[in-house]
Amino acid sequence: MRIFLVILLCLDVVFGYSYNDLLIDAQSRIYPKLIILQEGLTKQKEGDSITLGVVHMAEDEEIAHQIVQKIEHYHGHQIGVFHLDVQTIPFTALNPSMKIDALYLLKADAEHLKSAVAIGREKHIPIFVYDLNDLKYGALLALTIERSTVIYLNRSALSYSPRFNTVLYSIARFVNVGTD
Amino acid sequence: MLGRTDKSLSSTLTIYVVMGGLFVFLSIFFVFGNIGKKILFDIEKEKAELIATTFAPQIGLNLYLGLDDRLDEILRQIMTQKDIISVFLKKDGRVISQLEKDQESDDTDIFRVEVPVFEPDGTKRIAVLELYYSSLHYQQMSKELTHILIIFLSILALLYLGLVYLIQKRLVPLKKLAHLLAEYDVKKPVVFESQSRDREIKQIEQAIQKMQENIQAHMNFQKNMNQLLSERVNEKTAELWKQLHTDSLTGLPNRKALIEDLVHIDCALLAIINIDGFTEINDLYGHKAGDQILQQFAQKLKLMDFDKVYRTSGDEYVILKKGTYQVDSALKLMKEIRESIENQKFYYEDTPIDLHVTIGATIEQPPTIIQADMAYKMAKKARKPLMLFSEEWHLEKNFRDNIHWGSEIKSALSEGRIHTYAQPLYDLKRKRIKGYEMLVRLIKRDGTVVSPYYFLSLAQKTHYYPTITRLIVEQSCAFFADKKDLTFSINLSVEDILNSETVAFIKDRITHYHVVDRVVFELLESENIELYPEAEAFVAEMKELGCQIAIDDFGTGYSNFSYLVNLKVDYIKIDGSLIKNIHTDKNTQIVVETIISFAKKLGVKTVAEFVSNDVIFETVEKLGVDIVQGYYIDEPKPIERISSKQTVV
Repeated sequence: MRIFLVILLCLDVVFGYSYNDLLIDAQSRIYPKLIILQEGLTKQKEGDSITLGVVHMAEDEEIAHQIVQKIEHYHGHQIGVFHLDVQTIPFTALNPSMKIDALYLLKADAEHLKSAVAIGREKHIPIFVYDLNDLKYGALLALTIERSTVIYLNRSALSYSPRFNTVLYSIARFVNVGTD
Repeated sequence: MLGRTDKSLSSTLTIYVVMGGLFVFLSIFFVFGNIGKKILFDIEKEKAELIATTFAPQIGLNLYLGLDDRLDEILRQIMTQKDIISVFLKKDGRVISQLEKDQESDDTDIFRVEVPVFEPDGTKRIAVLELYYSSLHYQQMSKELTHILIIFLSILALLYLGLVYLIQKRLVPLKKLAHLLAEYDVKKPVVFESQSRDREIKQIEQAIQKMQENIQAHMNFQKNMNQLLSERVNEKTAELWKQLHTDSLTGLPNRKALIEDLVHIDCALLAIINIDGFTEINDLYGHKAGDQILQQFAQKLKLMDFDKVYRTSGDEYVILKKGTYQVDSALKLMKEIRESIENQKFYYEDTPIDLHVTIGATIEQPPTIIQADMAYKMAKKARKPLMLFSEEWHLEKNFRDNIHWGSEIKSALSEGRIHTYAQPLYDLKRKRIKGYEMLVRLIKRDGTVVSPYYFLSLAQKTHYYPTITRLIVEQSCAFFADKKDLTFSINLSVEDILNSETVAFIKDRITHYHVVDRVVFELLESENIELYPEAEAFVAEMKELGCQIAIDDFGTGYSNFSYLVNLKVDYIKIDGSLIKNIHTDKNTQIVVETIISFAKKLGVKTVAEFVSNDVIFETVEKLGVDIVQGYYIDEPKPIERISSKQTVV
């Protein structure tokens, strides 16, 4: 399984971005749930909707829509007590004025990723990445499938991100990548 | 006094302290042991719960996120805890994950902890985490706790024993004190050598010391008092002894002193000196004069050469002169004594009074008062001034007989052994039994019948005599009350007639039984009843009532016929001594004939006693006797055996 992943990563470099269905499937199931693990979220947004933006490059719009469909498939439009609204947002369209509660960054170049991270940090919302390696741009959370499913949490991004249920910290694997 | 169950204070305190300590130790052991084990148990359980609650959120989050593949990893982390035996994760009652260690354990050594697993927001219970936790650690801890407690209590017990030892040591002075007091003797005061530092024991010692001094002082006082009392008692005893043994009027030793002195004397002249006619002195000059004479008499005797002089009763003195005497020398001495006394003058005021004395003495070995008394009485009786006791007199036997019969009469009366007998009186003209003479008999305890000859004369001198008379009167009257054709004779003495109570009793009985016309009272000629006005009055009264009078034993005395006339007697009973030889003695026949002749002329019937055979019977019949009595007719019989039909011989 590990070897297979390495091969896939190598192919990405050669043929542009490629996505792992299994990983997308896992992330679609788990990331929305992680959103509502934010502390204080219940008080602020109970009865409101939570908007998850799936940010993608233009060439990945299709995969972004697939992710939206998967999320809606797994969760419908409801997550916990909140209405879940999942939107696809191109990196280029992302701006701080958008009402958005969490970002799910698909693969992109460094500039776009940094720009999206900056907006997310400004909005003080959780930032998920599809690719673990993209945590180095300041994203907060990533999920990989290793021997088991592993949630990575970027310690250097904690100061810009909202606080989560402490249990998450106990099950997540911490990495310290990226710069402020 | 120490009882068997008494225990020393130190032993009691030791027992209490040991018992109390044992109770405390056991209480500590059980209470602390149980509390400690409970705490350890709770700690262990809390540990298990802590483990479970620590991992439950992670499990909850993983379940929430759907990371089921991570559950086993979490359970393995749980199982890394040393005492976790197994862990189960249940969802909707179904085990979705579990891990167990391969070790054998007893179910009883396992804690079971169940913790609910919630979603991260804590709103929804999504699973249950069950932990099975080994109690081995708890048991080890419990053992350790027990060991610690045992060590702690052992140290405490040692301290306790030390305390007991200290208590015992502090009580040693008290024990010594108690031991000293247990052996306390008034004569040997307790000396305290205690060096006790305890104030209380010192105070006790001081108090006891003070008590000892008080007791000693009291003892000394008591001793002095006892000595004083003893002296006073001795003085008083001597005084009382003197009073008891001394005649208060004359100061001479009394009869009691004489009796005691005679015990130690074997050879002596013992003489009773009685003042003749002293009653007349009292009557003439008064008792004061009498007392003075008695005192003077005592003084005179004391001045004479006697070993001892006693006053034994009113006018009776006893002198004692030790030594062995012959009859002649004794009589000479007695004569000298008498002359010496009678030659002296006694005075009352200025009136001279001559005294005469009667002396009875004994020189027997040993001399006794009885002997001297007998001699004195013999002298009085013989109207002699002095008499010396002689063994040839048998007076002693008479005295003994008197004492014996006095006692016999008393017991016979109380036991109903005085019986009435009857002897028939045969009427020679009518040829039939006219009546009976009542006779008294004393029946001894062995059944022997005793004649009145032996006891009646003695009884007359005692207070039993009226009782005997009344007994005979009562039984006779009662017996003859319904025998209308028979007369009965009752013998009465002057003593009976002079006794007003007896006379009243007789009158009461004869009227009560309606026998006045059939009773004959026999009076003895020898008693000279004509000399007593009371007797004449009695006869007259009885005659008036209808009774008859007979003169018994007529012919033995002076046989004064004139009083027969005066008394109007009905019968003359010719004395038996005249009758029993009448058939052989012509003189007797003449005397009896004369009596019969006189009696007939006076209209008095004659009775011949002692008619013992047919010759006498025929002789008295020829002489004209009216009635005969004697063994020829019939012997005396108990009154109960008399039959009214037995009237013809």
